[in-house]
Amino acid sequence: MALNTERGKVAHLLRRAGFGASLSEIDYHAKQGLDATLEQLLNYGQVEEVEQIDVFQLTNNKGNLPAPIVSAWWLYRMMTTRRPLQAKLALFWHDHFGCSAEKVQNGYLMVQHINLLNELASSDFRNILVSVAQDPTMLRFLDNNTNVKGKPNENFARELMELFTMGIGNYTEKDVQEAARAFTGWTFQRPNRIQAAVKNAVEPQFIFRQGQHDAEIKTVLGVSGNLNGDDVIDILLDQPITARYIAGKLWSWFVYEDPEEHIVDRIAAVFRDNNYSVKALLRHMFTSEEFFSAKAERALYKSPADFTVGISRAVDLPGILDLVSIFQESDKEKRRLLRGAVGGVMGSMSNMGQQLLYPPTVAGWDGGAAWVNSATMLERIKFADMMFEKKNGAINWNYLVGNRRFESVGDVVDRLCEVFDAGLPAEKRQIVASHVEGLLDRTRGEEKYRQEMLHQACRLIFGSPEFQFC
Amino acid sequence: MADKHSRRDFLVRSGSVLAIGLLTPAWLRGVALAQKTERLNGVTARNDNVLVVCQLSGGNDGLNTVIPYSVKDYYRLRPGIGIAEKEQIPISDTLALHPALKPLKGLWDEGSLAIINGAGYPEHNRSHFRSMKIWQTASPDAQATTGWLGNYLDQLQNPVSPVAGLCLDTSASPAMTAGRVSVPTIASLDDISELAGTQDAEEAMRAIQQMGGNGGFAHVSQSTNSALDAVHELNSMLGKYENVIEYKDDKFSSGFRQLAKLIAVSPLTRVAYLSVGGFDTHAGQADKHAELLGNFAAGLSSFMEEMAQIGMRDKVTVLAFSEFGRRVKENGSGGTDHGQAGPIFIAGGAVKGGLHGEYPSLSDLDDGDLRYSTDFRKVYATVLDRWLAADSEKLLGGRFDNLPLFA
Repeated sequence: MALNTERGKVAHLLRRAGFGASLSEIDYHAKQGLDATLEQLLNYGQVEEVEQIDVFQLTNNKGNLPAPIVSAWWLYRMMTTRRPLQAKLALFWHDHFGCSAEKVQNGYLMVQHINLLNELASSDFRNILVSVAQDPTMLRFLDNNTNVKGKPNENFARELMELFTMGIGNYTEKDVQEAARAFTGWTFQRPNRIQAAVKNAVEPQFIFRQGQHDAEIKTVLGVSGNLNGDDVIDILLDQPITARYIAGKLWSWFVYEDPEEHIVDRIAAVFRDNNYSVKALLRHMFTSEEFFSAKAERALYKSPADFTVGISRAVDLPGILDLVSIFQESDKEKRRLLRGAVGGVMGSMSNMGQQLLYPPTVAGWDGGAAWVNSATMLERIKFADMMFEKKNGAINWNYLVGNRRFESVGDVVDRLCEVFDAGLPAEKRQIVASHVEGLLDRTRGEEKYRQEMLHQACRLIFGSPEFQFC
Repeated sequence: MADKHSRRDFLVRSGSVLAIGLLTPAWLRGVALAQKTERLNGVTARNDNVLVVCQLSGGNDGLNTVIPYSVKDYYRLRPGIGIAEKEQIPISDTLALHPALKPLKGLWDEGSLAIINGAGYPEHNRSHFRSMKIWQTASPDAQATTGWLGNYLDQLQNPVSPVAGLCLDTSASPAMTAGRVSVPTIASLDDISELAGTQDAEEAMRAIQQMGGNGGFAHVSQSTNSALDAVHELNSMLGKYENVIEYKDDKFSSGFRQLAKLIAVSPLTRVAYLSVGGFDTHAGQADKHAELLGNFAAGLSSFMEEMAQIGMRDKVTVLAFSEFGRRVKENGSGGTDHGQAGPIFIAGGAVKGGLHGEYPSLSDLDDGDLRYSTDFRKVYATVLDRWLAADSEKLLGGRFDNLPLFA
């Protein structure tokens, strides 16, 4: 499936602007054509979304919304959404802003945050920055809710420069301290008890407390004045390095890592010329020659989300688990069903190093080559074990290969590689086939053998170097 | 695996000629070579000391960890989060420990705990990520691509064991990144037996790792093979031992418990790495910090107790560090912002306990932070030279004086 065919290009685009796709989805989009597929991905607001679970029906008996159930809700969305680029971008921003439930300790705030990231996903970067800077979740995460006149807290100001806009080395410690003062008084107001009792009635909201704001002169990156947080954000957006940093990061996420200098020059210009529109930048990237070059093809390490959601979408895990029926269930039953159903995938993702809502640090996940180490490879291989466990859906022969006739074990392996969009060369498919053929002597009964054969073949495919890239 | 003895046992016993097949993993070939090298070079004693490195991620507040209790500025600058004198655990005429560190008092009293005050490095960086990288790679420009322990593992004459070094984590520590050897990262040692498959499955998995592809393939193959080697090795050993001490259930305790088990069964393990986060206490520091320090102290002291019980007390050294200390003056959120110098803890039966390094002045601050008095690379150099019998000058890319940390 090289990138010289329309179908190959469509599959490549779906691996990047989403989490990969099932065979039938690829068929559908290949028929539509590459251009139409791209427009549909980018203009996701016009795509009718499949029914999504109302997260507020998932509260526990005490009315709390524990973070794990919020993760499950989000993961279900990634597995089923018809707007994969929006979901992928929300994950990008989650990684970028690094808000962790570990610190925030409030499921409602995490929902508010994830909803915001989904809403902002391909918006313009200024809007994204300001909205996130004023998001109660972020205000709490980086302590800006306690950043007050006379007693500044530098946490947010530092990460805003180091991680969210410019990157390290482009500002001084003095800039951090002065910027912190500019953000004094940016906090949020919680709903009162009565409001809170009506769930989701009133979300915590941003509020600027003039009395806590340091109204003296500050100097940030050479600009002086009675600066407020908005001014600092504008100053940061005026720095040429900011466009380079963000555009380069998006390129590294969607095309290939470490773009060349001339590419960064080009995409930073596109970004700025389009008023920091993420959508415009993505359109430029996804239509670029480089995107379809050999250098980009299966060049990105799959994140645990790419890996697990990709597999889940390939086999329609929510369908297998009959999760569609969730909407008819009582709230309590919904919670149980959802956790039971996607809990296994969540646990695997977490062991692979990506626990949704819990980025390890404010810098998000290291990503790239750091996704792969001995611990995570063991987990990626083990994902096949989980898939074939009864309680996790008992993926079976019919689901994976249907009622086709196969001439040989090799044909079955070919089919699996196709289902999972695994670019294994013939020699390696042969290794898989030989191994599973050898199981025949040891396994009793055709049904059992078939199951064991698929299971062991999937272990090898999931553990192959080829399968770790998208 | 079913075999009663590990491959290593077999090799050590069989001693002489070893047939090396194509499917033999690199480390196993290394073992065969190691026997040979030992004879050829006439090396009399293999260095079998063990180093455990414990990373406190997020920037541990050193000033509330080791407290200069007679300094008035301490109480003045920390009216909210300063530790009251009556709660502190005095360890010298001028310094005291945070009360949560009580479990370490025993180690301190018996002279098995050294504290290096004011550890840091020139041209301090207050970014978590940059500063941590500097500590992990021991290079202040953070340009090095391998870690200080990875460098050590690389220069071991042969990869004597697939678990000569091990990170107990789901993400690999840059400190353990090596150029030549592969250092396994294992999330948990508790369920190793579940990870081991049949011999056939293992061979097929190794076979599929081979051949071609993009640059990342080698990284994947190396990681998978390293995992298979480590699981194979650990699975044959870990079942033979049950912890003899009870540990708590937090991340420090669980980590130390698993490392105790590893060290008990794996005589060729040299370096193990554990990291626990949560130290970035910008707000509401008091309770959180006390909890973390308490868990650290309890985990470490249980670990040392277990080492004593299995006769490894003098063979194991633990080094605990953080990427930076925190601002002297507390902020408006009952917390502290990123600072500079902080203490390093070294514990072990062979350690010369006591205080090392000058405690930084609270009246001569650098932009509100404690100035460093001891380059942390001196501590690394001492551990490499005196404990791991390595050449620190080579591994750290420069000469650093040793401190009197070992008896």
